Amino acid sequence: MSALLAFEGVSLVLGGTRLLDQVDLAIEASDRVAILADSGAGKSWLLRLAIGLARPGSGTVRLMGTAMEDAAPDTRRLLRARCGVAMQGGSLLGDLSVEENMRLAIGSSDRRAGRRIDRLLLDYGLEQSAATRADALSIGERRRAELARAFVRDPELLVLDEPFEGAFARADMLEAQVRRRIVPQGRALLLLTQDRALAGQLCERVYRLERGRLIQQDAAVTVPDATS
Amino acid sequence: MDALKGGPKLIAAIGAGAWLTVRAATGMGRRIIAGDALAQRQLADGLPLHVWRPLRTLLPLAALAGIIAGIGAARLLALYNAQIPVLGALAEILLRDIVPLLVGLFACGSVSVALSSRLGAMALNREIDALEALGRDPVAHALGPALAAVLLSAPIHMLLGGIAAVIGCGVPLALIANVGWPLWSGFAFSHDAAGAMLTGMAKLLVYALIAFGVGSAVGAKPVRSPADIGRRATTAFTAGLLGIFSAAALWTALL
Repeated sequence: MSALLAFEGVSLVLGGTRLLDQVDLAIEASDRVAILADSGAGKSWLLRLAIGLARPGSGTVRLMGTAMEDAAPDTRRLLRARCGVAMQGGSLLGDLSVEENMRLAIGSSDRRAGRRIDRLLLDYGLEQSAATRADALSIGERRRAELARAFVRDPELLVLDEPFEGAFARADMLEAQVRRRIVPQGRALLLLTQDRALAGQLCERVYRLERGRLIQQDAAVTVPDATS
Repeated sequence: MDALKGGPKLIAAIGAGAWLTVRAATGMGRRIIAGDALAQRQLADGLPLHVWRPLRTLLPLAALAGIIAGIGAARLLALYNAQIPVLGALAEILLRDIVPLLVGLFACGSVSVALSSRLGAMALNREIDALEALGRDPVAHALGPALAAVLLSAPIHMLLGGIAAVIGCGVPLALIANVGWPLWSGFAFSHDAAGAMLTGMAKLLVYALIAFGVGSAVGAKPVRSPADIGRRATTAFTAGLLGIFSAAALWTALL
């Protein structure tokens, strides 16, 4: 079975800094993988490479078995549409309402889609904000809307970059929601975060990105300390 | 494109503008045919921005341009009393050249600046990346509704701007050269003037497309900071002006 997402010897140099150095990674269906990295280490570039928004300096990124750098733009978009993505800092379309952002993601205006959107909005505590323009939301609401949008298309693969950043008091609720929508349904997850505890809670495999290389972490290192 | 200089850079920019305009048109067409409710809503939002709101400034501007042209013509009439050639030429030049250029300049100021700023802001807010990540074509989504609104605005602006200019022109003609409204309107709304108005509309459509192409090509360049957005808007305005004046000169020389 081919991996949903595969990095094959991927390197990336930006502004004289080697962000990625011969990175190999394969994520298959139901795999939950976290990559821990400090700020500025290249997590967001991993997301961009994973969904074909950036080209690697060398190596190949395959999404659903297709090499992204060789694929036509329409093919890349079709492949991305099978993923759920939440970018660090948010990427909602500001001039659309929360519901329109969701409809844009789901690409359908039928009743079934409407019911699915309503349920997600309810799950993420956004039912009162459905008609609110995204640029009028608070940071926490934007984060929740972004996560809800990532799940609206029933994605095979989730790529989440610092998904709970700015969520503050609701982070636990969000984490439970995300866990409920990923683990029992067997979705693959690539989590990019600085939060070691979160990585240990959500993922089976945890790597640390250090000097451009992925170093697999011992599970015991990433499991949150019960006494802390 | 940044690595290019001079002629090749200009050709690359023109190509990018044309390519984005065609992609926006085809993408918006597909969205409308597919019954995309969001496209219809975006178009409804774009109409006030590109069609109705500019009229508040455009109509007084056209009337003032008409007054200026009317004063010149009235002085000429006071000297030569050649009403038929002067009034006929005035109506034609007003509707064929002056109003389209004026509205085109206005379109350049509003469309190219608005588009380049909007695309820059979208890029900074990662909205372009978000559209790509959702599997949507950012060109069809971000530029399609604006293109439809700009194309709809051209004939409306030309028609209303032309009428405002004709009315403005009539005032000095009546006050200085004693040319009554029935006589002036006979020239201004004649068959020949209607032909000039249609030519003006065609010109304005070309100018609007130039402003759109320039705004989208400049706005599509990478943006690193909010200050870049202001710089891009200035570039879009000046490049649009140059493009529109070049097209006007070429049209006048060739047709």
